[in-house]
Amino acid sequence: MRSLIITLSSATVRNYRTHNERVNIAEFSLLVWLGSIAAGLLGALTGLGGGVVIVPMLTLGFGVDIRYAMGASLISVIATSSGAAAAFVKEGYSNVRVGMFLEIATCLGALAGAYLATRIPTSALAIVFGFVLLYSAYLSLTAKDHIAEDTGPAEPWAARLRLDSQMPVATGWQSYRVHNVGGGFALMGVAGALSGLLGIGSGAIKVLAMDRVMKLPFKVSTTTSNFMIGVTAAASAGVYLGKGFIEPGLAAPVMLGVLAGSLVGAKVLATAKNQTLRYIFSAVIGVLAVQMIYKGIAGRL
Amino acid sequence: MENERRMDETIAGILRLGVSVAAILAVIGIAIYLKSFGGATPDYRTFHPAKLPKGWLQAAILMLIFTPVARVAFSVYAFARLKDLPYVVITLIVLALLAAGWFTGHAA
Repeated sequence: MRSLIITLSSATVRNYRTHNERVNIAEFSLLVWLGSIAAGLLGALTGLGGGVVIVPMLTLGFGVDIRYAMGASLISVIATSSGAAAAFVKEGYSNVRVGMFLEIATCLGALAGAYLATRIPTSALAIVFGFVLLYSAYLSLTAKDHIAEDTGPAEPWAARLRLDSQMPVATGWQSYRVHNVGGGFALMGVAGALSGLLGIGSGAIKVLAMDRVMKLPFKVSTTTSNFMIGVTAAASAGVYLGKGFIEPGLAAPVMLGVLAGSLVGAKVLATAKNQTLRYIFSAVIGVLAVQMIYKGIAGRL
Repeated sequence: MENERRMDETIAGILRLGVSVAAILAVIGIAIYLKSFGGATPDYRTFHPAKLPKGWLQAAILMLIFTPVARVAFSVYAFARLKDLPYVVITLIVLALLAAGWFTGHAA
């Protein structure tokens, strides 16, 4: 099913590129919708999120201007993050206080990033995008589900802000502590800036900040990251909307496709954990990243 | 703890409702959009600042953007009820940043 959709959409992309002149907006939207389902699946299965796959698909595959691609991606990121966050918050994995506090950093970063995005050349955006994509793929490949070692000194800020919490485990609830709040906050500012600059969720870097810097349990980090992505993206969305990055005929099919793809992807992920599949998909993403960088340098994006 | 769990559940409800409504609006909106513009040739290769057409599609995108905003706004209220002053301030700062992005983006 999955490979069928991917084959189908890559065939339609090829078809589109050769018969470009004859495709009208309705047909184009259908192709984009199908491609976005595949991108949503890919994003969910690699743990990278749909946004980071949508931008290369639209720019490299469909020849869309990178600013429209970023606008459509940002909208889809809000949809998938809010949809997934609803489930995780309800299960009690997400640390709402940690998320809320760090959203100050991500929103500040996002505003700065979004303003920068409206001012720098598109070739520069493509190059930065390629490198962030490569690094995110590397991070998600090396990420491991683990229990953080709770050894560091007690963090006064964690107590002051009541960040320490509990997560559900098989035997009930397990307590955990939060470390290095300052370091995590600073890295979250960077994650927010990249989100605003590139129209992505930058979940991989948010997870990095919580999992490796603040030493939160992995499951808490990934679900809290998801919880924060929507708010971070909403901070940039006003700027993107005002600057005309959000082309409705493109953003709507992309959002609907990514939402459907990521919902299916999350179900597949829950039933089967296939390491080989993750490697293959990460390789695909690596190739896309290199192409973005190359085209950016050549000035063709 | 019990109150916090209830807050989490309301947050989950807001998010799920917002996304569902936005998705339905988007389906209706794109159908209407394609009915009037579907036959035209797409021109997404070159950038002209896009404007949202009034109607369903605009409502869908605005609904989506306001879903996380509504979540933050609700949190301000929820933390106030829990008498958690630091978090009332924190969520208000986040809300102010969201408003800043919205208003400066539109003023520019």
